[in-house]
Amino acid sequence: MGATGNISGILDKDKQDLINTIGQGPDISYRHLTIPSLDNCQALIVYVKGLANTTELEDSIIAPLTTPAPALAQDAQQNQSDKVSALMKYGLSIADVTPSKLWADICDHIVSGDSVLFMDQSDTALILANRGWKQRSISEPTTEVESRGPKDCFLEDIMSNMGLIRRRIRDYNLRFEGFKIGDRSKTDVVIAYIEDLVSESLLNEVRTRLGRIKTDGISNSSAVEEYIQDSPFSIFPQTEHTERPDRGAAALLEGRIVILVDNAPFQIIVPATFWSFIQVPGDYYARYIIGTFWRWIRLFAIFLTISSSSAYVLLTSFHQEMLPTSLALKVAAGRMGVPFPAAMEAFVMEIIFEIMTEAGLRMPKALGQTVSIIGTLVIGQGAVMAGLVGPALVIAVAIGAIASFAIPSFSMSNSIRLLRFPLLFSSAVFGLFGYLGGVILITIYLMSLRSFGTPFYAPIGPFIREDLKDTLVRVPRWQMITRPWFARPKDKPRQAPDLKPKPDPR
Amino acid sequence: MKTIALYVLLISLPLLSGCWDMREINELGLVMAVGIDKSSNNPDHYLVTVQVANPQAGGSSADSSINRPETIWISSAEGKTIFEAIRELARISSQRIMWAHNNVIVIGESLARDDITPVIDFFSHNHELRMKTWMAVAKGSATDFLKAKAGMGSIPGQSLADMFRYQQFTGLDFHSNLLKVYGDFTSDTTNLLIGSLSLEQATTQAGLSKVQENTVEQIQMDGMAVFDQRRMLGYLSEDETRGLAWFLSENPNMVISVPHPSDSSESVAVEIVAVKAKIDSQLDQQTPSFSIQITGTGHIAEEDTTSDLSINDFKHQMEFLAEQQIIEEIELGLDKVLNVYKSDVLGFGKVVHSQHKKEWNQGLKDRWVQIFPDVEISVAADIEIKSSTLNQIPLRNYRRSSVIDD
Repeated sequence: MGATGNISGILDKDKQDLINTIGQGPDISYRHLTIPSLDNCQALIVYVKGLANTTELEDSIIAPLTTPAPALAQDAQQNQSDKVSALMKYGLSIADVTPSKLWADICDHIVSGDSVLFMDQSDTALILANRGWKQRSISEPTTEVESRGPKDCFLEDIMSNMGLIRRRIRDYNLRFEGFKIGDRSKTDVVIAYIEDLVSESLLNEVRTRLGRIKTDGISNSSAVEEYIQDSPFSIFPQTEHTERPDRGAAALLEGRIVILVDNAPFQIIVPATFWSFIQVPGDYYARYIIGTFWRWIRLFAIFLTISSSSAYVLLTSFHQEMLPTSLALKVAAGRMGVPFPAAMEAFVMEIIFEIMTEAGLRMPKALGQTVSIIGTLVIGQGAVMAGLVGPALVIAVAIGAIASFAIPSFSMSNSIRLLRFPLLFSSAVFGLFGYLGGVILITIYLMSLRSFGTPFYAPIGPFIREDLKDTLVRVPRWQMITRPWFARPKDKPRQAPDLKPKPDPR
Repeated sequence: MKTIALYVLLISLPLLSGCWDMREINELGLVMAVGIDKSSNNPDHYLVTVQVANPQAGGSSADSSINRPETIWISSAEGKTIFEAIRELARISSQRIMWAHNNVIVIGESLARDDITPVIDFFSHNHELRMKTWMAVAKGSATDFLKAKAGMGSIPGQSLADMFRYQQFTGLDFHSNLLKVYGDFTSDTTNLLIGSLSLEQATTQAGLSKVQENTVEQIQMDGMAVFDQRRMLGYLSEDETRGLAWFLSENPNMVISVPHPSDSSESVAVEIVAVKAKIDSQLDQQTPSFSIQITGTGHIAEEDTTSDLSINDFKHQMEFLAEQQIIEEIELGLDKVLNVYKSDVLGFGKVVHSQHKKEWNQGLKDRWVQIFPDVEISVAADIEIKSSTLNQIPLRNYRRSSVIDD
């Protein structure tokens, strides 16, 4: 039975309505005061203690209001009824003041951290934007570390995050468009785009998909991701996410859209392709040859992640003739007396590896050493010494594990790591045919995916020749003349075509 | 409902098929070499001997305990056919015999003299075996050869394969593998030429500390075995093999030693490289004659005496002597093949076939076996010694000049 409609203008009634709506909890402060310059008008300031900036409230709101101000008094006397405009002109030294009559509006601002000033005999309240809560300072990114790149990182606070993007792109056409998602959480979600680059249909699609989310609350950007993906059941992530503002800004310059979610340090980038998950900002911060080399290393890491244990099983259980003789003898020697078939051996070791990863992630940091000692010594060394697993398998599983950590995107790395198990299974049943069949199925599946209408495997899936410049190789900056096709930017050329450094013709 | 049925079918597809083809690598006995003999008890039976690697010996090199198991396991079995004999092996082998890693097929002499067809037939039928497996004829019983030592490696079969591989350094690279043998066997004209092995007594000393020397039998490469269509006729000695190698070897870079131009009791070693052999055939009155033209480059590798000849004279005399030497070597080999064995292992029939296709198909093909021993063959060689090795002064000249200085 909350308050609806407009405020009444009678202070006591409004206060009662407000208490009925947002309650009287210990964090909500109702501060009465008298404004001497307005004929000792009774006033009420309501704010949430943990969200409003109390210092600002004292210095820039309460102090000027309670001090007699001749200019304010004179202005108020000249326009008898309009206290609000008089206050806005002379009475408050805070930057952002909005008059409002609507209860819904007013209550939303109070719970968002603003202060609201009610006055007796005034049907308009003033919303004073003095949000200011404790937040961490901008720190280095923790999951996307670059040795040579900006060291700042998105925060949980959406305003700071928009600032981080605006600082990188000072284009007038950079637009932020706000949504409120969640009936109860009322989370701010903002889409950022550059108006004369972004494709209209993409923008409308993002608006529609965000607009249809009807839920009680959004806890993180990953929740938004789940509501807006093209293939909701897919194992692969179809939206990129990043905690690096430079990555977000680069996406905007390609005509893509960044979705910022309040209280989430990872922001969403759409549309995404498979290849954008193996690209990192570091590719562009290093020399182009190095960047290209790194990309190939990452591709090879993906291959190793899904193949290493499957290859072990299919080579030792089905196609021993594919091993060189001396290697075959070594592997056979290692497996002498191992009581399990290779497939089961591999499966158990992979599961143990996953348990170790999970344990390392979940347990208290102080126990970290215990897990690594138990993991390496007991499971690695001990199992081999006891003859429970072959040493070659331990190497295969370890290579796969290390390789999976070389995949830059955490979400993609998880998906690919999970795919090892079906591949291991089909390799154990059908040998090389099973393995190849699995890989082909995965590739076909990847090619069938879409991200906001863009083919997920582009520019390899649908072959886009000019986009190859930034897929498997990273060409020098001065050759990246056009923006990538997959986001369908309105303005294709991004730079002058003749930027290759060369001596002055004079 | 239909979807559920589809999923059930899809899931049962891998589950029901199980792991039917699965065999763990440690359950396999990897055959390193196989020997085929005629059985001594029953002349109709084959005796198959396999040399199987024991991975436990080569495995963890960390524990060098005294009770180290043998590196190989040798076993024999008899059967009416080769396949039957191999099936017999399963009765005594704890491991499943696997052929994919086999290195060498050794054929016993008595079997080779009888008929080689079953061996080629069985091993080219076998899908596990690689066509690059080396083939050799043993001078004696193949079983003895499988038990003998070969080279330095711990697994004789592998060492034997390495010996075949390193024949390119002696120039005698005849590629005597299953693929080549199969190709020659099925060809109309060319007969088989398979490398042959012999045993020699070798003294080995196990480690530096042990004074005791052992005498063991060791395998060595020893010439080639000449076949007619399916039977072995006899052997070519090492020298005769060299003669054929000049135009048959894949990589005929050889070292010849020729008498020194100024002192014929001393020798000069010349390495002949970039050897090209050209075989031409002429037909007059339906009797083909052949010319073999060898060209190559010589390097002086070793000069055992001093010489007062000018470089130019030395070069020309050396070239002449080297050419003579090569022609002599070739004729030695040709003589044996044409006059003793009368079997076209040289591929001359192929040369006529490709150069005179019409005449070949008009009857020459059918008479080739009779004609071959009587063909005329002329041999010519053209060696150019053009390397900088000519300018190097032999070590003995330094010695002499220092004597003069004193």
